[in-house]
Formats: sequence, C-alpha cells, structure tokens
Amino acid sequence: MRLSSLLRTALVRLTLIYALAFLGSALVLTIGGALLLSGYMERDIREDIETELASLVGVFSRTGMVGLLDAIEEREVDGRHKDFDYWVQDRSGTVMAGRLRPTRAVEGWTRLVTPTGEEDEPALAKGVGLADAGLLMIARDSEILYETNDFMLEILIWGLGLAFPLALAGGIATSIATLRRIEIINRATVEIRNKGMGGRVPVSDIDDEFSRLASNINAMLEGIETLTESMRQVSNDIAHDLRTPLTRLRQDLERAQEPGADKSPLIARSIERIDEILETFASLLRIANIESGSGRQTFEALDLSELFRDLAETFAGVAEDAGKSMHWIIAEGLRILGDRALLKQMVVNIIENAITHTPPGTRIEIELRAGPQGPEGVIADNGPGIPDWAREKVFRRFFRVDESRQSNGNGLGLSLVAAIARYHGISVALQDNAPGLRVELRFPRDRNLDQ
Amino acid sequence: MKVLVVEDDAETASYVRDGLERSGHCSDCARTGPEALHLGTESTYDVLIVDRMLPGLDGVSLVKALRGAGVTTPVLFLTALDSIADRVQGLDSGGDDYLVKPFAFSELLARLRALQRRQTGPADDGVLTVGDLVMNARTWRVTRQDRRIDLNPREWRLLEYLMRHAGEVVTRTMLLEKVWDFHFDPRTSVVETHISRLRAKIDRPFESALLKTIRGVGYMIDAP
Repeated sequence: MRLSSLLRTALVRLTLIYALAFLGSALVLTIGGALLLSGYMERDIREDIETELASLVGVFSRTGMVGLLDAIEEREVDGRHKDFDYWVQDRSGTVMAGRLRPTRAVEGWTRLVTPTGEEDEPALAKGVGLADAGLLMIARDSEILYETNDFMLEILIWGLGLAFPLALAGGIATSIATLRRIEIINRATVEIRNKGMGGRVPVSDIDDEFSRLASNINAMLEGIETLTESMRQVSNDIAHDLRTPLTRLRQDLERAQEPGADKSPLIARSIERIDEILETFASLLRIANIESGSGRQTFEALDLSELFRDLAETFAGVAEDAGKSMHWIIAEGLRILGDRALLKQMVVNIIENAITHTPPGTRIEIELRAGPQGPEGVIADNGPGIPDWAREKVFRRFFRVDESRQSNGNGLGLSLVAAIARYHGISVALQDNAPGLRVELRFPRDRNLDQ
Repeated sequence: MKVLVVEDDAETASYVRDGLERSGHCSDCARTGPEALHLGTESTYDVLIVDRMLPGLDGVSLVKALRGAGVTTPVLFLTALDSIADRVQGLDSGGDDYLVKPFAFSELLARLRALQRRQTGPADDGVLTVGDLVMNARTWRVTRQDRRIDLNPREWRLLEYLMRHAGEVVTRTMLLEKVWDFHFDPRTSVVETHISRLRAKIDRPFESALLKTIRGVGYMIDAP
C-alpha cells in the first residue's frame, strides 16, 4: 500500500514537472516569435518611410516647394500611396499641403495615435527639415504591428489550450515508463527480502542508469550472499567441530559419575578436552581480532633474518626428535615492519605443519633470501604434500585435508597464517614441491628499512 | 605471601582466594577499581592480581594510578583479553606479568612465586649457582663440578631462566613466554625437546640430576 501511494506521488510530481517544462517552452517560443516578428515589421515600415522621404526630398531639391506640393497632391489620390499621409509646412509654420495633422511638428521619429485627427489608427511618422527651414513629415499606418501582436496572443492561447493536455499526456507516459522500471527493481528486492538471497534483480539490455542500478544491486547481493554463506559455514563448522570433544567430555564425566570409577584420570582427561575447546575458541577470536585489523600499533622494525634463524634453531631439535631433518639457508640482515609475536606465530605454524604432517625421514628446508620485491621465505618438505583440490581450501577455517578430523590440530592453523599474512601484506603461496609441500612467503619491502 | 585479588566476578575471586589459602597464602579482595586503589595504597602486599575489566576504574588505569602513587608491588594481570595489543598495553601500564583466562591454578601459583622472587631476589653479580652448577655471565661459561659445559645461546637462555628461579616451579607456558617469546601454544613439544637436550648436557654426565620435571605443572632446577 505504502509503495503504491509513494509511486503515485512520484507519478504526479514527475508528470507536473514534464507538463510545466513543456508549457514553459511553448510560452517562450510564442512570445519570442511575436517580438521578433513585430520588430521585423516595424523595421520594414521605417524603411518604407525613409524611402518615401528620400524620394520627396529629391523632388523638392529639383523642383522646389511648388514641385513638392504637386507631387504630394498627386500621391494623395493615385492609390499607390494610400498607406502614407503627408504634411508640409513652410518657414513660418503655415501648413502648405497634406492631410496629416501631427500633434507636434518635429524632425525625427514620432508615433502618432490619430494622424489625420479623425480615425484612431496608429501610425509611425518622420519629419525632415527642408531648405529655407520648411518641414516635410510622412506618416505610415502601423496598425499591422498591433494586429500581429493580437494574432500572436491568439495563437498563444489556442496553442496552450491544445498543448497543456498534450504535455500532461506526454508527462504521464514518460513517468509511467520510468516508474515501471523502478517498480521492476522494487518488486525484485521485495521478493528477495521475502524469499531469500538466491534471487536477482532483472537487468534490461539497455545500458542506462536503471540497468546499472540493477547490476549494482546484484553485485551487492552477491557480496552479501558470499558473506552470509561463509558465516553460515563457519558457524556450522564450529558446531560440528565442538560436538566431538563435547561428546567425549560428556562420556568421560558420565563414567566418572559411576560408583567406584577411577575419577582422577577421567577428570584429567576432561580438563584436557575442555582446554582443547577453549583453545579452538581462542584461535577463532585471535583470527577475528587480526582480521578486524585493530592493533597495528604493535608494528615495529624487526630483523626477519634473526626471527627465521631463531625459529629454525628452535625447531631443528623438535624435527630431529620426530625423526625428520631440518636444513636452512638464511640471508643476513633482512628487515621488515611487523608485529613480532604474530610473525613468529605465523612461521611457527608453517614449520610445525611440516613437522607434524609428514612421515619420519622427511627433509624440511627453510630458506630466507632477498627478493626483488622484498624478502622471500620458503618452508618446504618432501612429505606427502597437499592434493591440488585442497590447496585453495586449506586456508579456510576448520578445513582439514583428512576429513575424519582425526589428525591433530584444530583446522585453524593455516587460517591464522592467512590472517596474519593478510594483516602484514605478505603473500602466501602453496606450491607442489614434487614431492611435498612448498610454502612461499613474499614479504613486503619497506624502503625506509633498506638503509 | 600476602596477595590482593582485584576481581569483580565473585566466583573467580573465591576460586583464586581458596586456591591461595590452600597453598598457604593469605589474600584480600577488592571488587572495584577505587576499592583496589584504596587497599593497594593503604596496605602492603607481596603481589597484586588484577583483572583487566573492573567497575569504576579499569585494571590498566588502576595500575597506572598505583604506580603514580609510588606503589612498586608486582602486578599480575589476570584477564580474558588476550590480543597482542591488550598484552602490550597491560605490560606498558606497569604490570609485571600477564595471564590469560582460563588458566590452571598451578600456572598462577608459579607466576606469583616468580614475581615475588623478582622483588626479593639477590643483587645480580652475573654469577648464578645451583649446587655444583655455576653459570657466569661475565666469562660466558657454565661449569659443573668444574667441568666446562658448552651451551648454544638458546640453551643458555633456558638454563639462565631456570637458575634465576632455582627452587621454584617454572611452567611450560612461562618458559615459552620468557625464553622463546612465544605468546601462543605450539603444537609440537618445543619445551620438552629443549629441556631434554639441556639435561643431556648438565645432568646426564653427572651422578645427580638438578633439573626436575614436576608432573602436570612444569620444571624446577634445585640443588639435590
């Protein structure tokens, strides 16, 4: 209801705007045309008067006053000059000839309302001085000018009368066409709201604002859908991941409740399981914390070479005890800006993956060198590696290559690596070491640290 | 040891206080920041256990205020906030150690003893002695029964930390934090591996063992 009433308001408003714009332009056109036309006609009349004056002044200069008076007398009856009225006065102001009765006899242009003192016919007149100080004045009927204006006004009234309904109709038609396309988008969004994120707004073939609006809405929906999907995935995974340890915990506690049960190992194991669950939550929080990007204030200039060497030396013994060998080549003096604790955790997670997910006898290699774009780190092993299909997915929370979730680790190790890497602008690539896994880290170079 | 427990959650407070009592320590409890500030400046304690989130005055501001008032009692932050930034902020405010909830009580006790020791420890002349084991930082030598023992830098750091806390239990987490600067729990047996290598150098060639494993808690070095 609210939607359609809104639509109607928009329709009326749009229609009125269209109609008013149409009317405004009609008005401007008509009035402008009338002004132009009457200006043109007045110029014509003035030219006629000038020509006639020139010819009579010519007569006067050739034949004198007598010739002039004759010529005027002739013109007043010959029919060809019936639009003109003449008037001649002599030096003393005595009227010599002509029917014209000007209110004032002056040289130059005048407008006369009653040129002959009888009928009410507007006229334009011009007077010129004659030699011996006489005055010749010629007037020409200018009624036509007023008639033109009246005519244009009539056109205007008629035109507006016809144009207004037309403008309204045009306005309604255009508005409806526009609003219909908005309504299509509207209906699609309502449907998506009611039926779920799967729907999309139809995009028309015409490349205009409306189809762009529709594509943008669709892109936005796409983003929201991916986000909600990944959130749903994570909550599913959390629920699924916690069910196993919680079930086992419950079983242990149930057993501890039985009379005569040896409680202390059961309680110890229960605490272990709870710690496992808490550790999962701590890791999730840590990832979320890093991803939210709060805390870049802990960045410092640090010696990456030292950090790598330190970790290689620390874990060499661990690897050895697990029946694997570790070898490293670490270039000296490579520095970056970063959070020491987080970077340590990132590299440790990768090294520990190489130690725990490989069989005895595996050779683990660690390398750090200066690359063209900044330091490059490699942690590689010749173990079983990660199958191609899983390489993109291992960074996802709770993903394990071994789906049974029996292998150690909570499936968050590489998610944490990815989060820390993103936070520092480090690119992480998983490559096939043929055989084995090769993790390549490209650290961003900080030019301020190069000196 | 007299401890002030600053904690607004009654259940956590009584868990900590009961545990302290059973271990032979006595404690006072403050529920709010202002109350803790009052007690901390009026009475003398060996250690303060401070929660980060408190009504009235948060833990960080409380410790800053105490330090400003000239109170030098060691402070252990006990908190659920465990991001790196939180830890740095806590230690910058004048805290001496940082333990994240949930925690094992044995861990808390070990850390309290370490803090108390820091307060009363002997002046450092560069020589640490445990029984017939001697570590001399000035000559960079470790000897046992006058026989020289070669240690790599990491083993040196590990042994130094253990010897500084001779006679005290040191937990795995404390070693990870203080020796390796790891503020997370590694999946592999880093500590166990290095302890066993250290043992091979300082204990195995001799009749008696100085470095003991305290089951379920951690390690302790002590004269036999």
